[in-house]
Amino acid sequence: MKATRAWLARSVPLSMSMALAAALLTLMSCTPGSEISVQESDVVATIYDPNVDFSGIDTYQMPDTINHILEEGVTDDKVSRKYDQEILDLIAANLNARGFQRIDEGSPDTPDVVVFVSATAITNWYAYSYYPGGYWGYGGWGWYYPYYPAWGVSYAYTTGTLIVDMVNVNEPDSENKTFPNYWRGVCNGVLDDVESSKVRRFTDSINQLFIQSPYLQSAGQ
Amino acid sequence: MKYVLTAIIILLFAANAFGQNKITAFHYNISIPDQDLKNYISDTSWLGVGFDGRWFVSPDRPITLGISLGWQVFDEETNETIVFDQGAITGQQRRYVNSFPLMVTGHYYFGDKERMWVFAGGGVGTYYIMQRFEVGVFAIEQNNWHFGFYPELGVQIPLQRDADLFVSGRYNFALAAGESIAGEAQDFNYWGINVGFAYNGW
Repeated sequence: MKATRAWLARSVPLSMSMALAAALLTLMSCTPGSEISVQESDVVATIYDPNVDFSGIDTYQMPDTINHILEEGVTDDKVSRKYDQEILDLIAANLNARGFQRIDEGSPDTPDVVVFVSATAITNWYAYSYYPGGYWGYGGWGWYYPYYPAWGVSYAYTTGTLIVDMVNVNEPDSENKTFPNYWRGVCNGVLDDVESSKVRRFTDSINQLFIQSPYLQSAGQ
Repeated sequence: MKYVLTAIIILLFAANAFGQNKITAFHYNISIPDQDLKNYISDTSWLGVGFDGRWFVSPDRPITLGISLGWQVFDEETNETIVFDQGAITGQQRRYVNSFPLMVTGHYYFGDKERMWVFAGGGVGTYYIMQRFEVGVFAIEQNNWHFGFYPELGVQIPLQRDADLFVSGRYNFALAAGESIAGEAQDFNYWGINVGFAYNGW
């Protein structure tokens, strides 16, 4: 103990202690950041009506196209239709694996529910400028502009959202002019990515919709 | 944030103006979350800093009054699924809590000042808590002032003239106030281990 104290006494003079204080304050500037990769932007959310007994649902129908939602007045569809069929097939495969039976469009049989799939995209823009302050000249008068110019930064990214709704069209709410929505699944993520990564990401996200919905199980299985 | 650091720097210089019967301490802090905070972030925080200024009430009484400032950063990354009443959400989450204690303190010193000076006491005041939750490209944040206090036990071990090694343990009670990101109020309690240097009469 005495040897340790003597060592510390020799090693840590007051000036170094002040340096420690300054270093600690500087260290605090290295707080964790918020940068994320495109892959880390994916979010999967589900919500359901807890009063619904999903085990009593046997059949479903699903349109063979994805409804792309565009803002009013916008004609540029940022969401590609390249993977529409793959997405629909994957959703159907997950539903079938959970015991739900698909009824083709045009069939005379009435499905218990209809599964609607929609997609939309939003581009987010960010722009800001740096205007470095001037300085008083040494030994002189006036306010001087810095020798380096101001600069601006702008960037944009597009996020896409896939929405899957399980709706009972057999029991319309005439007062509110709606159909009861039993289950909604939402996948959201940044679209700016290489093609191979996009396929893996939407596959994982759609599968996750059903993984985190264990109640979504038909008694028909 | 810059206002807290400015306050710390000002107090460093102001401490000199209050005579010789004082102790000034800078310390590195390690903190372990507890209770509600632990449910949000369970990882130990290795990023913390603190300043203590203590003044003896009289030359012949080993009792100090003072102030304590600090900054502790808790953070955690996880991709676990959050399940709530009617659904669930999955994504790469980043959870942050910044805690800024601003305290008035009181301590009693005993033991041999020349060998090991033991102090016991605590602080009462407020914690400014910044809580942030990020998932994907979405983020929500809640910032609140929390009334709080902490008991403390520690030692000062002389190293050289007027400079001591400072080691202490605290339990920080930042009581529930306002709304957390989960909606309801929650406390932000955590254990603290502080190691640094103290200067007597500086």
